[in-house]
Amino acid sequence: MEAAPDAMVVIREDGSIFLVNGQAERTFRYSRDELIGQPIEILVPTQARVVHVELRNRYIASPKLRPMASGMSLNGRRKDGTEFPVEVSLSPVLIGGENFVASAIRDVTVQLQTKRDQSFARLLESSLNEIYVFAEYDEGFLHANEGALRNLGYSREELLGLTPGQIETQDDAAAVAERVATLRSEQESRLVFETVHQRRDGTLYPVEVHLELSEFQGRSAFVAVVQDISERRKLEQALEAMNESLQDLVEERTSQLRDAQEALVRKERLTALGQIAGGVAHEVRTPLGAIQHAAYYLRMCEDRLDDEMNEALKDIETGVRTAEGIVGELLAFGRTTQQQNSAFRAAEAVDAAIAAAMVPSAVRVLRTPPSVADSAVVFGDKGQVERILVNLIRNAVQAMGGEGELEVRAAPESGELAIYVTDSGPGIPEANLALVFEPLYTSKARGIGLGLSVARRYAELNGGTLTVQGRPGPGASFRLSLPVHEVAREVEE
Amino acid sequence: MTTPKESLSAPSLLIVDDDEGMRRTLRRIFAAKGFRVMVTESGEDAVALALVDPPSAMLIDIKMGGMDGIETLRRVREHHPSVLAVFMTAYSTQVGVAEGAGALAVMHKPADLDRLLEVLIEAMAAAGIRH
Repeated sequence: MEAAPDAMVVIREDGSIFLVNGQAERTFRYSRDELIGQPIEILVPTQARVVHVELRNRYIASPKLRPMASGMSLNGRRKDGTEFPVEVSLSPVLIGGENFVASAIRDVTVQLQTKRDQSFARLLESSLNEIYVFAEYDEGFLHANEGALRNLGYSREELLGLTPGQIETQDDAAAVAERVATLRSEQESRLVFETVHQRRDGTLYPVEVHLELSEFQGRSAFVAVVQDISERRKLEQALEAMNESLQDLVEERTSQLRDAQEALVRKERLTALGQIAGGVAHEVRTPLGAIQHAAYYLRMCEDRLDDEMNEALKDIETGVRTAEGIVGELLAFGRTTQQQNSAFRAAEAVDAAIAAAMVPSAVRVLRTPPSVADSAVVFGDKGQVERILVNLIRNAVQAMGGEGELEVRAAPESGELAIYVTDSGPGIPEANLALVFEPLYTSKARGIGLGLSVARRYAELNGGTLTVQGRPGPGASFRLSLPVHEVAREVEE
Repeated sequence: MTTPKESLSAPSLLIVDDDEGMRRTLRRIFAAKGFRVMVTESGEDAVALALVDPPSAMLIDIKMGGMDGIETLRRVREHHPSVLAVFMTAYSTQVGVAEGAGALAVMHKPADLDRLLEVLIEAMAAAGIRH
């Protein structure tokens, strides 16, 4: 029995230990004296002891030679409390007329480990992920699977000659040291991080690493399961790009909302301003009428006026006319009359406006209407359209200081009629382009700056637009667009 | 130029306006043009005056405190249906309203006086009123 390779323990029918061999002493790390007479359960893990007593009694009731608990993994318990995997076979023994049970106990730690390593290795090989096993970052790999070789482009011999540090070229030493320390101190059992691997051909690819401290071939080793996340990155980038464009869209919509709100505020302000303007104009009209009548009377009596008086009367008349113009501007601005829409030829409105604007003779008026545009029929309030053009022409004349060249050009443009009023004056500074349609904006010493504001409002009321054309060099150009009358357009086509 | 004296044979014009400046300046002009000019500052006064001294023509402000110009003309016409009239207004919105009220013209303030005189004199000639 001393020569047996397995630990041998013989017990009495009551479960107490009768006999042990030297191998049992070494396996369980008890001395023979410590074991003799103790219940066999001293060698069984504490949680299995109660069950063991029951099983032992059953065996003794019908003893036969057999391996213990076949199919189950059994553990033995050493004196220091540590456990280890065992295989046990039992046989009934008759010694001096007394029944005993002899158990042969084999420590199968190494066999199990080998078996585990083998199945682990099979698992590693079949995985699509890259799997690396290494003891230290600056030591050669202990193992790498097919996935790793395939992705990196190394042969197994080449790769086993490399260290993890030569694959993870982007990681700094401090980060690596921290990882090692975290796992070694068992603060974490597993780390997941992203890094970059370098292939044999020097190309880089992003990876996610699951790093564990484990055992390999009986020694402590790091096992890294590595997933190529190039595709995931691409998706993430695509998602990010989508997010950005979504954000752009949100910003665009927000800015549109803001513009709409500003337009609303501006409209409200214009309405208030219009009411004030209209009220003031009406109040001013009556006393202005009295002055005009008085001047009219004096003009009736001009044969009684000397030259100085005549000059003074002329001054009054000029002043009244200017004031009337301003009152007219204020009234047009404040007016909220009903639209009187009709279809009319644009050329008629242009002619009427040029006549009504009373262009001084020092201004040469160029009308360049191509025949098609000239015959264009638009739909809207003719009076308002004329007013728009009168205001634009007067504005142009004033901008030129009363002399120069004024061009009124009509052109059909994508379903609408565009009328350009262009002067040869000094032009509008870039910074002021946005301001010219603001009420009360004026660069003139005289006038209150409502002409262009009124013109734009009328353009909008008639389904058109009025814009100022930014252009280099002198001269300002305004563009009025009006919707072409549907019926007329159909006839033309 | 000569300044025709007001006389009972001259055509009479009743000016109705609640603004004193307008009344004074218009009176001066029409008087100088040979009209026998009467003025009142309200529609009510105008209706009362027209009862005792019916005018050949009236120059009526539309918007006045109290009775407005349109109502004033309607009341005067109850007794003197043939009275000629021109409305004046500072409010363009009232032009449309007054156009159906039987006046020769509806004029904006400040009025184009040449045209006003022309309209009145032509209408008087057509009505056989000697000016």
